[in-house]
Amino acid sequence: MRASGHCLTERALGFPHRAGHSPPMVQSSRELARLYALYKRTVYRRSLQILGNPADAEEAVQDVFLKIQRTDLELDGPQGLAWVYRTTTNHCLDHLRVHKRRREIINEDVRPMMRDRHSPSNDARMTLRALLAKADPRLARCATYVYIDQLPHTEVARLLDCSERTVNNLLRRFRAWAETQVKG
Amino acid sequence: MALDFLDQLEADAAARNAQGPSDLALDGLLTGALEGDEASALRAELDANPALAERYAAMQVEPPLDDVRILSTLAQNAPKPSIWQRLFDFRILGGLIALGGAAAAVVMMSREPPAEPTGDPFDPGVRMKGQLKLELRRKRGEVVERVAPGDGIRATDRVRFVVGLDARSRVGIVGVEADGTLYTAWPLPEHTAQTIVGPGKSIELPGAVTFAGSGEERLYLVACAPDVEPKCTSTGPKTAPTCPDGCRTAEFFVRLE
Repeated sequence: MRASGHCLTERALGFPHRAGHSPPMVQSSRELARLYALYKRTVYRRSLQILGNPADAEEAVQDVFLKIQRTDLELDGPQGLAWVYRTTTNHCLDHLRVHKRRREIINEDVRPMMRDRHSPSNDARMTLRALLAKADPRLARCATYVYIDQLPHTEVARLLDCSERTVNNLLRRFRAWAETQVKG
Repeated sequence: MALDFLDQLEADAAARNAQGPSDLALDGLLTGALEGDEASALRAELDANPALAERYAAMQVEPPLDDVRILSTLAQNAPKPSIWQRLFDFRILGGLIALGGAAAAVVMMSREPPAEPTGDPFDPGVRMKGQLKLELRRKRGEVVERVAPGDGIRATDRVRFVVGLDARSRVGIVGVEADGTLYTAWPLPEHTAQTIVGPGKSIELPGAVTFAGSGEERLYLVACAPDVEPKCTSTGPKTAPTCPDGCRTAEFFVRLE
């Protein structure tokens, strides 16, 4: 039964089915090459949007496909695509957290020099990334889908396996938390 | 206003949503996840909406990825199939060959793999052959090059590790700073699932790292038996760290610029 008021954990989400009746297995190399051709554009584009840096995005593609390699789930169809979206989001948010200090240095040292090259939206995304690195993971996931992927709330609710009302609550909490961070 | 940036992003998202289907929907079409009526409706919308069609065309552009390198790294990091998986793979093949041949092959494939013909350092009583190898490759700008021992590494370089192993091992790479402080250079937290690798002469470890700081630093490849964590302690600057029994180390020194 769906929990109300907050989103379920990744473990409880409706994951795609395991392939057939086979015993647990990882993706074969041929299958992995097929999945790579199928999803590399999606994974790269989203990683670039979330991380904001082509080199980091390329690393993320490799790391996400290492995770794909180690899953025995059937990754075709809408549920497979949703799994790839979630895995990419989680990986990129982990990356932002791990490399927080480096990013802070870049923001402090480089950003002022580049400010005039940035559009207001790019500046806004840079500020958002710094916050995503520190935010509660559930709030960060929701904020990523809404502010970076620009998905409608119905689709965010489907990816997070919760109601639209919950998505709105999570966004409200993210805004309130962001305000304390920005003012502090 | 403190949250101007979020208002800006919300306005961008609203403008995007007013334009039509989301990237997730377009990805569904691109990857074949969307089928039937939903796919037809989206195709009709693409035909009728040039701005949307332009967005979809941009999503289909080949990304600037080194496919060969990535697929090769994935192949090197592929987990060994279990005996059950090998049996299952065989079951599929079994439908294509004669029953008698299949039965004979099942017997062959269900056998444990033959013992390593050469020395596995983790098999007691077997002398180790070959050596550990640690190489560094740096990406500076768009140029990827091998790092020679003693070469400089800048804070902006992205560094990958390539290792040579004569047996399947759990590996880690630690660094020892000029004051003797030990830190983990690899794996980063997101790589912890892929630390058992090899054997192989030139295995590129997943992920790239950057180094901050300055001065001479020593890096050590630590290769342990697959069930041993490569957790080491510093013995001071310029000396190899102390690592658990069953682990071996290979040194590489660099200058951080």
